[in-house]
Amino acid sequence: MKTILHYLKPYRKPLILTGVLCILFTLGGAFLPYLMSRIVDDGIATGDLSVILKLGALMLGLAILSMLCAIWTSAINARISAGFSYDLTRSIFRKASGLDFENFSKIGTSGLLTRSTHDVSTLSGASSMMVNVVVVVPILMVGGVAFALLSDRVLALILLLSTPLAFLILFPIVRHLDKLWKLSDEYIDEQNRLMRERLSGIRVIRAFDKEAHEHGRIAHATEEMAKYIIRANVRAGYVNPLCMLVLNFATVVMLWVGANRLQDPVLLEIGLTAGGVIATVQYVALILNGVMMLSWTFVFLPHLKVCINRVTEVLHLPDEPELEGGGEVVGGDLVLKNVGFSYPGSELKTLSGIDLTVHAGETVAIIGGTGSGKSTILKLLLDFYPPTEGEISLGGKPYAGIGRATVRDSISAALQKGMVFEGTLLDNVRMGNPDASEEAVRNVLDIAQMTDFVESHKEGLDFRLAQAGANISGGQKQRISIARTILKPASVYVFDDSFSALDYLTESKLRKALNRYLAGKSQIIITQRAATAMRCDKIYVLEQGGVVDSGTHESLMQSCTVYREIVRSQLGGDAA
Amino acid sequence: MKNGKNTNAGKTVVRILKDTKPIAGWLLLGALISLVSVALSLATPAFVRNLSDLLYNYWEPVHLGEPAVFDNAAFAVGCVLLAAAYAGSSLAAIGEMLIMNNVVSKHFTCAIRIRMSDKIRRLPVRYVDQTPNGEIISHMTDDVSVMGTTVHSFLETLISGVLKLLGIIVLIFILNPILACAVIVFVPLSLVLSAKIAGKSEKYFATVRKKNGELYALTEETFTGFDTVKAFHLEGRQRDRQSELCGDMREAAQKGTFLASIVQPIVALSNNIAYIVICILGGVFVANNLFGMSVGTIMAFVIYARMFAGPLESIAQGFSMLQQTIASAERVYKMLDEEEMTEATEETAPKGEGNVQFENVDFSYDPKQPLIQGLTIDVRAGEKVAIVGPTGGGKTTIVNLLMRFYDVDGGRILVDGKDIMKMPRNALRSVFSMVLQDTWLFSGTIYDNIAYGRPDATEEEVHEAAKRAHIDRFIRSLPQGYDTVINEETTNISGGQKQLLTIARAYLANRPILILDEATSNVDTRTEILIQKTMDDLMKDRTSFVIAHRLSTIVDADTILVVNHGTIVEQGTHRELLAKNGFYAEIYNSQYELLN
Repeated sequence: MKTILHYLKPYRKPLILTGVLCILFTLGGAFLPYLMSRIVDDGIATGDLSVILKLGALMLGLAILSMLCAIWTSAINARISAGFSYDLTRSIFRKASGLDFENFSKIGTSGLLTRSTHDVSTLSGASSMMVNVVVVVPILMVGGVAFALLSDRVLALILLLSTPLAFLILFPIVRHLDKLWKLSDEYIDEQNRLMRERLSGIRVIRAFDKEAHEHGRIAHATEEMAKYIIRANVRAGYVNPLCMLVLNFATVVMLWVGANRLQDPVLLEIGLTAGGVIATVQYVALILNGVMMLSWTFVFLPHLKVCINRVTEVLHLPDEPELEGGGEVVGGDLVLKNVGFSYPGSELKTLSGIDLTVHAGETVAIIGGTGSGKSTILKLLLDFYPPTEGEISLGGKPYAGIGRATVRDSISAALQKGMVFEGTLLDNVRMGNPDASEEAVRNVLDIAQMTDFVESHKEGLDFRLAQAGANISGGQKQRISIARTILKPASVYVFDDSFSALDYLTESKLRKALNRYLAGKSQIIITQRAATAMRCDKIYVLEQGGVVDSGTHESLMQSCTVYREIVRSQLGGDAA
Repeated sequence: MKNGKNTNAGKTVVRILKDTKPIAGWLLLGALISLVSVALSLATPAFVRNLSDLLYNYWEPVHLGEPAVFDNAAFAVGCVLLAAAYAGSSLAAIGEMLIMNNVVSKHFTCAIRIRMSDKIRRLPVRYVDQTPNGEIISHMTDDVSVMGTTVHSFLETLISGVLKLLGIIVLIFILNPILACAVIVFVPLSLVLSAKIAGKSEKYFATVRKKNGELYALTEETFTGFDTVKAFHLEGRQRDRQSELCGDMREAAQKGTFLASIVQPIVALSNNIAYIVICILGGVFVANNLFGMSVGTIMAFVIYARMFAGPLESIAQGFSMLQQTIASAERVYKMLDEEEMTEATEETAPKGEGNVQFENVDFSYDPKQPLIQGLTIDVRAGEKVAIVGPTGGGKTTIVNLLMRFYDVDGGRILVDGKDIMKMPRNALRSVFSMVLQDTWLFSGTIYDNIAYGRPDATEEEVHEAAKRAHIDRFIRSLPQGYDTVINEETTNISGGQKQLLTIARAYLANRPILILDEATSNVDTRTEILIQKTMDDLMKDRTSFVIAHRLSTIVDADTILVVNHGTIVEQGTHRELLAKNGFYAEIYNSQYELLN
């Protein structure tokens, strides 16, 4: 809570101003029924026209003033809530994008996504609501009761008592509304999930003639969903009529009590009037409005608390040690000495006893099945995580001595997914080297076998990639990511399963061009495919987090059963 | 143009009304109840008026020092009547709310959703392929829910809204025509103003929504590509873009919020002006004994003026809602009207021998780009046909045609000598088993997933199929064994294991023709060796179509079809094709050529 309030601090002055203005316009509104009672009591009763007109003009002035105050308040509030949201959204993104991998994976991709979008916008929405609840509601209540006191103590007391009563009636209704809404949202999600599942599996479903079955599942989910939606809506539907009922009954009671008190000569003496009673009755609406606002706030409070906790959790995570330095490329010899690793919080050893050497200019392959730990090696190479055992060194110096920024500048890696970002093709490739000329970009795209693609689109390099590369194929994504990787001036180039979506023909052409372009640089190729690994200078065979054997293709075919099996299964008997 | 649009909108409205037929009786009941509620709420100001007059008429003489008697009995009766009217109108509102919620959700929105789900059964695969899944889902949830809300608020806005409005106008004109004019001029004025401002603020909010969408996309790509962001130092770039979007959003949000929040004070002002005019004019009339005006009448006017804004607002809202509803309903009805697949009337089913012929088949997804032309293949029962070629070359198209996910444009396909166009689709499909590259499993138990194609299979048969696919041991190692539920959150089952489950599913289905589309692409090499043998078993004595990436698995195929750019460029056995030294030979050799 404190962390979030911190974000409101810069707006302390406008917040105070808004509070003051709020008091002014609320009182202005509340003053009108009082003036009306004066018209009745002083003007009508005496038949004095000038009093009526004077009071009327006063009312009009007050109404306009009150509107101006309200508009001013709106302007300030809009600025505060937009600013608060701006600050919070930016800080949480800044924080989240700067996390190290350990903290990043603690919360996870979808967790961070929810926190930095949904939670933040909920909080921003709540920030303006909070201003209302904290400032406006108390003013409405205090103001209403105070004006009622002007005409009669007992009537004011009834007014005051009707508030907790209304709250007592409303609160139990709205209290579990939040849960009901959540529940019905879950059922909506369930129906959508089933539908998505059915649409994505349409071929399998039709192949097995199961459309009727799937339709039945969805129909059932839809019916369940309706049940829960009805339950939530019905409960919410009680709020307004009941609120009206309380308000109206309070009116009747006040009229009755007012009539009785009006017959007391003592009270008449001290100035109780018919107009006063009538005006006081009108304050009921004012106060009940406040009560309703308050009840709705209580509905959202638990939800809000969850959001605040989640956002605070991220904001309190430590930053990744500042990536200073960098810009320097340390040269080519890469050595892993007895490296072992387990992910933070996990007992399981993902890697153990890895000894691996890449001499400058060599091309080394790491081959292994899923779960062999080969992608984890890449994470260590890029210093996403420090190894739990052993040491990695580059150009003869241990990682710890070089610093993260330099490590990441010296090693350029194409990652498994072939990640592309929303933006132009040029943009995406230039991420490897922001200073690269267009010519250089075209050259690396050509090496990545993307020239056909560039030429077939009239936008050329300015072709816009959709988010997650939705408008291109998996193979094209991999090739763009390869182009980006080799554009970056580094000493070691790593390709993690970067050729898996390419057919052999394309891969063969690409690899030939790549070897020419990267001549003299070190290459590490992480793959499942024997054909991809075969011709490398050295091949490391990985299984269950350890190096089983290493050597050239020929020597491994002699010495390593695991390797032999892989080759046989992929290339058939004749490759040996 | 505009006219045409209007008649379409009219048609859509009529169609929505037609769809509410099953709930017509309930709607009528709801209408009756809201009539009662309207009558009661219109009566209450009259009661308040009498009570106020009783109070004032007693107080005024007393105040001026004259004797007066307060009519306690009349006042008590008035209070009771007023309370009863209030209670009645609240009860009626609750009753209407209960009816509408239950009826509309259960018999209108739910029914339309089920009809849409049912419709999908009869739509061609082409429709599902061409329409983004998210779009179909949003029609089914969001659009239908907009329709439901409108039907729901139909009584509220149209019946009680209009009746209330008319009632109030009539009543205030009877009470006092001059004051009535004040109400009729000033209250609607506020609505016109607020509608104008709201329209302007909506423009800014549209920007906010758009920017918010972009912000979400940016945040998503930053976090899903976190390792790339880190590896290439892209934090700064992403932050700059995020800040820029936040800035745009801040500006639009501030303007939009401001405009939206000044609506209320402006409305309040014009309502207050009406209030003040009533007080002044009313006061003058009472003071001068004009038009039989009383303090109670002023009070009644104040209440009527306050009531006047409600229905006006809900009618205005109803109209803007109607635009949205028509748009939503049009999308929903468009889907419900999509052309359905035609089904063969003859009840011929393939004999299940496994002979397949393509005779001069033409096909294209897009008429402008012919894909397959004059394709002829003759596959005898028990043969293995391999389809190879670069990615995106159209290998899957042949499967699409064979399974009738798509229909041929020319020529014909025969299974066991019968044209597949002349048999019902389910009969045709009952002779095929498929294992596809994207492992589709439904959320349910492992057992049910394996038994998907044959729900009548015995437990032994299911276990046997799992054993054959080398997944039985793994399943038994799970805490819940075969009852383990697979869903989106399942993390303890890898992609490879899911693929094995689909292989077990195909094994159990036991059909004469087998389609394997890159079936082992998700399995790691060592597991692949294990299941390769199973696949060989599975293919024995069956006609099989194998789409393969790795050529080693298909060298023994009886026919290899080499597909590139959508056409069959070569056709023959492995030896024949190598001898030909064409495209196939190039692909085949390329995997050994790497790095040479």
